[in-house]
Amino acid sequence: MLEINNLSKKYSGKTVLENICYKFESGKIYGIMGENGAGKSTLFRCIMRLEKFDGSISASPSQKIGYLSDTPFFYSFVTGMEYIEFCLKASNLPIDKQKITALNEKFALPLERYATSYSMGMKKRLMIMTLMLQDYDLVVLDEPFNGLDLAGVILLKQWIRQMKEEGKCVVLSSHIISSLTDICDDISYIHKGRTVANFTGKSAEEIEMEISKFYLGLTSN
Amino acid sequence: MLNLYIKLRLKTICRLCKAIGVFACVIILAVFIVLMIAFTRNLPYQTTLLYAVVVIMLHFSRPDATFLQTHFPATFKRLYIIDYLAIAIPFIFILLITNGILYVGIVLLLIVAVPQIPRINLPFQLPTFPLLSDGSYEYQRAGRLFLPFYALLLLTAAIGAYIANKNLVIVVNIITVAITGILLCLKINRTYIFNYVSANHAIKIKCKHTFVNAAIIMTPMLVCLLLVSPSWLQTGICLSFYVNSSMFFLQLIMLRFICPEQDLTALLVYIVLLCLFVLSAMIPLFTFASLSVVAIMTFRARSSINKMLC
Repeated sequence: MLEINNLSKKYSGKTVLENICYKFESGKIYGIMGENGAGKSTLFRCIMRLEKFDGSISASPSQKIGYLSDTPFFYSFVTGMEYIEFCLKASNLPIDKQKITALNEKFALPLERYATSYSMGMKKRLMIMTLMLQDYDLVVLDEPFNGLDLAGVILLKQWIRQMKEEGKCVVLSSHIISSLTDICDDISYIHKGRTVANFTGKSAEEIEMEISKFYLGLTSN
Repeated sequence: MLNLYIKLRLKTICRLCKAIGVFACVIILAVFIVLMIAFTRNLPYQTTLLYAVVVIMLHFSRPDATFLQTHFPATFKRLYIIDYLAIAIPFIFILLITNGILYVGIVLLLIVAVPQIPRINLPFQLPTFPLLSDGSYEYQRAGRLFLPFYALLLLTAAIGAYIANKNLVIVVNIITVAITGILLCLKINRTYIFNYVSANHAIKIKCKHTFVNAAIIMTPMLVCLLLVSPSWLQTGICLSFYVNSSMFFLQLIMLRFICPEQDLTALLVYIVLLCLFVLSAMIPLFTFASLSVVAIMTFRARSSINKMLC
């Protein structure tokens, strides 16, 4: 579905990502962990071609890739509904108000209000709802659980699992280890710009112990 | 795609005008155009320079860059062009009125060229003005955002001094004060306020920071102004500029406490205060009006801080 080979990225001579290789396949959920500044967001921005990089990323041209940025952005004086309509039109998709209303019964967003007046949790929910309406083959979610409220977390997890069932691919990052172990088929760990470990099949406690001991030097006596 | 974006932007602009009030919008635009024409009547390159500063600053601080690039990967640069063209309209209008038709070409070139500049991520901490008061985080932040453009403005002021063009140096000074002022208009973080022992203590520290930092920021600019035609009168003008710019910064710092949430009101007040600063810097008699505004705003800010501390 999407293959990354020897991806490296430097900012002003400082290496942020070094020889990153991944192969994301359809019908799977990939989790990426790492500390702040480890390079997760930069990797996602490279996948979305928002940054220039060395190495290669190959994907089929017909493949639609969606992206959830870690920082919500909405124009001032634009309602939630107008935001959704704008994104759908930008993706050349028809606007099905019934579908939007039906989906919003779960998300419970005041779509007639300006999106900038929403709380952080509501903003994240609006972004996720818009992604859900766009029918992507692969979605890249940068810290999707950050700032998300309880209902949002449940809806997001349900949607990610549904994507998998539909044979689509999800790549996400999170600091919450248990969130990743709950839903991901493959979990890798980026440390100082390099993929240093794969924790597939391990429990949240085991992953926490291993990261604390080998990478962060945080083991308690 | 262009239609979709233009429609959205027009809708947001109309709603913004409605929120501010159509009459207020017309007044703001008219004041801006009148001031620009008054100061750049025979010097259209100053209008062009101001446009370049505005558009470059906007380009490097666009919050919608990722959003647009994700939704319009092939056409986002054209969308930037639309935005920069919209901003250019009043500038082009001023240039046409002031016979700066040649400079219209430069503005049009900037509209197309600026979107091509890659937006860079800087992994290191940006430098700020040296010697700023310790603890004056607003000024340190403003310096980090503004220093590269400040350097350009200082260079322009130095050129103005060298060619003895007083108007150019004055305009650069006003631009410097206006941009520094707008960068000081940070939203108040209430948790910071609890660090102050009392409202009086907060006001005292803010005043001290303002007068020290205004001297640091404005001295190089004012030296250029003095060098245009060194004389006692010019020294007086420079002093007037320093005192009034300090008071303008102080008014804006107080404004943050008075209007912590009302962004649109604060914007309108900012424009009025900027006009008052320009007037009082040019006509020293208005300095008393400015001083009175400082006193009133400080009193109001003191009450607001007291409420926050209670």
